[in-house]
Amino acid sequence: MITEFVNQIHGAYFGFLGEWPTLAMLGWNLLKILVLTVPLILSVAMFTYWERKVIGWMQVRLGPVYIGKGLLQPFADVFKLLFKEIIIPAEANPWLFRLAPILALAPAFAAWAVIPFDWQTRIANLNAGLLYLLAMTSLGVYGIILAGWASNSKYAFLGAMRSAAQVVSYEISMGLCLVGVLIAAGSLNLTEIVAAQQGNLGMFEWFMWPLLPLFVIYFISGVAETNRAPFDVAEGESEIVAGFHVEYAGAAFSLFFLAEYANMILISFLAALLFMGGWLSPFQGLGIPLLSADGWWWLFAKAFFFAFLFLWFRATFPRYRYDQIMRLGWKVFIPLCIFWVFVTGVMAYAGTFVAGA
Amino acid sequence: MEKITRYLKSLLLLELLRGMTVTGKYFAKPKYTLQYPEETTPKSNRFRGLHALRRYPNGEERCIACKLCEAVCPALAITIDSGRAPTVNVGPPVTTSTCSSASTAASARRAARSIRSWKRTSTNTTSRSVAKTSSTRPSCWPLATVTNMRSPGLAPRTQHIDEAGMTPELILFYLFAAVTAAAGLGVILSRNPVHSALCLVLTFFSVACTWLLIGAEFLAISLVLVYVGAVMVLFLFVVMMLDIKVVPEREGFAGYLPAGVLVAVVMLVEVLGLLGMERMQKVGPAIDPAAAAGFTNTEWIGRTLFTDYVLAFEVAALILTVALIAAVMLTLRKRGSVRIQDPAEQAATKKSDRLRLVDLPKTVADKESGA
Repeated sequence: MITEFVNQIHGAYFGFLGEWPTLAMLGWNLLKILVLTVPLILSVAMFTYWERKVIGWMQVRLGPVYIGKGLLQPFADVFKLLFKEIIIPAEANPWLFRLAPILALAPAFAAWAVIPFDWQTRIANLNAGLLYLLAMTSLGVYGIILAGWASNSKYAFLGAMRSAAQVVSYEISMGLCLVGVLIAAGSLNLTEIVAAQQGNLGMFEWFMWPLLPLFVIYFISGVAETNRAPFDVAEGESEIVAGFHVEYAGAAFSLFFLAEYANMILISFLAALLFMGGWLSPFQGLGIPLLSADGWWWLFAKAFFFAFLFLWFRATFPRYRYDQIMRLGWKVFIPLCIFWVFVTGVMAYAGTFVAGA
Repeated sequence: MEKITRYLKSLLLLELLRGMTVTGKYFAKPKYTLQYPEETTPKSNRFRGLHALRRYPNGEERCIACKLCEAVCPALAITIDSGRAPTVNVGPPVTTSTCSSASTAASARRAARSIRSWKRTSTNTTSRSVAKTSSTRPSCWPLATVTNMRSPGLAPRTQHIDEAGMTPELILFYLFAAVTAAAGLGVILSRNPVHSALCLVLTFFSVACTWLLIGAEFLAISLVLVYVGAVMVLFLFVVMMLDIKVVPEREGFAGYLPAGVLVAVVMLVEVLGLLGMERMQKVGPAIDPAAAAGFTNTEWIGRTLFTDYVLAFEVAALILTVALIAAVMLTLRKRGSVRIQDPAEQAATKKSDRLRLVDLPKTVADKESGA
């Protein structure tokens, strides 16, 4: 029904702009991007609310309760930030200082272009989708580095240096985890990766079982890549005030905030898509009337679980020391990943992934 | 052996899971927070109300300064100074039954009203500063829209476009090519090394965009991933760590000029030679081999690398690994004075490793007898 509705709109739109096909195509793409990003920004807002609520509950507090029972708190925060003055330090590099938040935000949103929500729903069906995602997530670090450098402040610079080293290190283990997935699925296309997890055994067809170590490492690397607790030395408020965005105020600061949360949601969606079967039902193929139906709600439920894990980690673990982060990345994760990629290769050769887990 | 079991055990993340169960439990526990101004705590049975002076209907005080209340107050909260108005320090809120029983004239009234003086004040200070809303808009998704327009592997070669006129691809190609050239110039002309590095990033990025236009999506994204995402980040890392000196303009320009011109001429001759050869042999743009074989671009590259060129590919991988190990060996040196932690060992420490209980003689006599 929804598909029909979309097709109707599509037909009407192209009938209207049929004389300029290029222009029409551009406009249609822009429309698709808007349809994706507006809910994304809204979900980022609600995610900040949920974060404060969850962490509050874990610390036996209530969290935000006042503005609209707490539900409107994120919007109050956003409007406060938007109406504040943007202060640019006198000694800062003015152009790069302004460019940095955009460079942080753009890849965080661009990565969403290849995320499929259903068999058909997505912006672009890229064949090298996984590679594209890896490229986009690795671009986010430019925003952080430039923010740190352009601020011309010691704290910001230290935060940027820490973040750069951390992101580059954890990208390797993250990439190796994705290598495992693409060996198992035999494709770089995200829709095909989900399709490779179909089967008759419900949730035991998912990649998370044969690739369990890679799954765990992927998610922990994702936490490190987004600079979240317990890997948030780039911000490290007890040591370097706020790290790379210490000099930012108002809307510029809120862009960094937006990028960070969009990245967190992205990592949650990816973990659900790559390892937990995306929109496939956990009871797929078992023939249970309502539960066995696949659909976007499963994907959202799984992503919500991972997003919750981000907050759970933050409420539980103390911050890692910097050298321990490096040790974990290089000496623990990368060898384990290489070992399990090898095991995955053997499994693929033995035909594990053809029939199911 | 013990070390191995310890390692395997640490992989199970047991300690982390234990921590998460603790926070998970608290997540579900009922919360005891009291929203103070809106809600109040239940009063204690011993609460007798606030201190207050009582008066006769005509306004005269009932207090005759008998000081009984002062004497009996266990918290020493009442000071009666006859002649002046009695002061009651509402310090510690201990108003016991002794107070009220002792209060003959000046007594604490049982005012069951709550201590609710504090009101949340609403701040109505308006910011005078002009809120500059940001003029910065995220101008993102360059790649997303581009990749969208072109299904991979089926892109027309740019050389063909002469007949086709100004297609959107051609416009985009010229745009990206112009950005590439401008950014390349920026790399060598910029006086700040950080700006140079950033221009190089832009060069890589726009080259990747042109590659996307001809349908080489794997190469394009790899370029972004490897060079922009990793190599240039390290470059920037190093450049920013250096004490940046803005290079004076055209220093040693004349000295380097002949060598530079020579290199440029050689490159030009090479490129022209290549083009000339192609023209002579009438080698047109080949058919896209990936599309001809019915594969996607990525799949075709993979198959070619691992079949026809497997030896070269593996040799390259081996050389890179050797270089990596050599680089590590060059910088790795053991210094005796450095104290290094072993986190696994630290985590595995037991109480018995650090704490030793010693039997100490209890008395002097014990000590002497023990000695």
